[in-house]
Amino acid sequence: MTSLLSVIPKLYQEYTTKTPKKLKIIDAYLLYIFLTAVIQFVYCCLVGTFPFNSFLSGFISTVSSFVLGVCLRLQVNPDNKNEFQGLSAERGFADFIFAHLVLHIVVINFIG
Amino acid sequence: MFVKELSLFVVFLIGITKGNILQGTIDTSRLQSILQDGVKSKDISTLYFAIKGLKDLKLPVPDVCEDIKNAKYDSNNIEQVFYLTNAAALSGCQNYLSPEILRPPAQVIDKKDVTIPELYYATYSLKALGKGTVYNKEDGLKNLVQLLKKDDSPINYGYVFGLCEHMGCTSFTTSHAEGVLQAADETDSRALSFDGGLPATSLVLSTILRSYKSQKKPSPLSEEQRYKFAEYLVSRRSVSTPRGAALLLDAAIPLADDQPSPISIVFKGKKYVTSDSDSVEFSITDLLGRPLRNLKPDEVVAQSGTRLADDVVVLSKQALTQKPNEPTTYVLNLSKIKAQYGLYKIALSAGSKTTNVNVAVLGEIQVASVEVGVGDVDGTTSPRLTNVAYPGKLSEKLQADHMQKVTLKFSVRDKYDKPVSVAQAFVRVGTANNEAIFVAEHDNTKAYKVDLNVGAIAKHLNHISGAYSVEIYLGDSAVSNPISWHLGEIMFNFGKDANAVGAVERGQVSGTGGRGPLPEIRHVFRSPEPRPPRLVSDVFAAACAAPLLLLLVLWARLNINFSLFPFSLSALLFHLSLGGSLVLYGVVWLQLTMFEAVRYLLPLALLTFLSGHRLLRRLVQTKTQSR
Repeated sequence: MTSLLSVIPKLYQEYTTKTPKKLKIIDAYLLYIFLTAVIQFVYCCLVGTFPFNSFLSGFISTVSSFVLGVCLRLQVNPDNKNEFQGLSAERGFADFIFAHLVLHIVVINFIG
Repeated sequence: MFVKELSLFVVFLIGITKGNILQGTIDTSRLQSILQDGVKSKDISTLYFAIKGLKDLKLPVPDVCEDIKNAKYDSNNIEQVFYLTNAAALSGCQNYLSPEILRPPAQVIDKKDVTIPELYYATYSLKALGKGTVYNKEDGLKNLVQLLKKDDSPINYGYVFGLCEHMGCTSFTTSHAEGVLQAADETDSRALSFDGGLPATSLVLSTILRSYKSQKKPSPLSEEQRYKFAEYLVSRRSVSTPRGAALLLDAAIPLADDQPSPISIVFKGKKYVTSDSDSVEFSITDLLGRPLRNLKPDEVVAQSGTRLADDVVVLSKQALTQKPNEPTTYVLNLSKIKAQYGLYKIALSAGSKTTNVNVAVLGEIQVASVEVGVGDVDGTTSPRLTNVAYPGKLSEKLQADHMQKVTLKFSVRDKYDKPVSVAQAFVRVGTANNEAIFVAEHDNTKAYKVDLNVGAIAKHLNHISGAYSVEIYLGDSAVSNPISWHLGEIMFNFGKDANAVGAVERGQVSGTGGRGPLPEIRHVFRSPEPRPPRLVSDVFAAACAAPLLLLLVLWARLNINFSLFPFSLSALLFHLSLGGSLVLYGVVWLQLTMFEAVRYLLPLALLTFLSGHRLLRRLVQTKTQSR
């Protein structure tokens, strides 16, 4: 338990110092998406899913945004450079924007 | 009333059960009248078939020479020329034809791509005029075999067999007939016919049988094939045109003449015996309803007879007697078995063929009287019995309440006063628009008893107390006098709790007559579930937006700045158009339809793509340059 407690600050320190700023921005975005999804889920548990399509589109929108964000983070991360040979970070960002546009036109259509 | 109809219907259903024997004949007198009507026709093909059919039946042909002289035909159509010339030949009117008629058949024979039917028609047209001699019969046959290789359908074989009769190559027919017969199509494993229907079947069968006969060889048809072809011809007996009639006779006459001829056994007249008439008649004939030449009268025997109800053998080896002056009618006397009514299966053999027929022995039933009693359900008091004699009625209206039961006891007896059981024994309790029918069952001594437990039958009668009429129905498929006996009326009282339900039911019944139209069905949409209070949803909307604030705070802490923002045209355009797209989504959500949205979105997306592409390329370029 004590080791765990000692590990956490170290982990945090590592993160703040070693992680590039770009990734931190994406991480903040991911956190935001995650919290939104959690709040929507709590609402559904407490109040009910009545306009079911609205709930579904909101929730699925957050889930897929999260997935897309993670994908972007993977591509942008310099540690993964070997995995994505020939795919620049800008290319990843363009894909991210395109996927978002397609995703949200569907979400908007479904939200009712 | 309906009992009587029902039992009559059942009697009609009892026919001859399926066996390997014909169950019908071709009615030549009907065909004859069709043909005699056809002779009056002006159409050359109808006229030809009518004359041909009459010739087949060996009947005189009226004088049609004027009709043949004036007949209209298409000289390019060899089939019509064939009909005209052969009608003239059959009726002896060749002299009425113009010599012009010889030209078309001669042209057809010299044609290069001639077909087998055309050759057949042309050759027989010439033959009808006495000109159709074939000089080189081997070459002709070789030619035909070549043509058969192109199209070896059964009907083409039929035409070749027909040509062979004329050319004198019947040995070709006898060597190929069995193969062609194998090619016949079987339907329901009962009937055989050739692809092409009645014309093909008729042509092939008649040419084969005639060729074998002319060579004095036994026919190539097996017994099974004989019956199956005959079955097919019988199934087509309802033809209505002279053409159909002639084709049918063309095949049926040689098939019936060819021994051993298929045998047909059918009931003549009624299929049942009663106490007044104790015999049934069968007509045993060949395919065309003629007497069988090879059948001796003492060969027609009822081999065995069993009662269907209990499989008891009631007769064996009883000979049928031939009716005087009617060689096709055989009489089976069933006086031995008429004492006990029921359905009987009789195995009838004529010569070597046996078939099973079902015969009904109709008997009369009677009911002497019925005992009606009303007693307590628990049997504490002995029931009060009333005796009613048939066909009388109850002298008083009986009363029964829900604690009691009504008992009916009767026995059904036949003419000889022996108790019997019937297939249908029912007791109906009902009013004009409310009824329940109960099955009466008998015990070992064949005494029928019905217990009507008043409390238990209430649910069948909608719990409506009141006067109900009681009727007894007795019937059987082998009973000639079904009984429907109105016994009288009984007052049923279904008790207090039943009355409450009964009152409602009665209201409904009187309102709609019990069978009125039901109320119209309207579609109802699912009502929306209640939404949460305004406050709750607002709080959660704010909660959903809160992480956005957190995001901004986090980004601020990461010291995001826009110092590197490239203030170029493409960058501005990209951000503007991307923002525009997102705004458009919002507008879609609020008011637009999808199609309108796509119309606006397409140019925006294009702009976003182009500007984004340019911007990102610039970014990459600057990055690589700085490296």
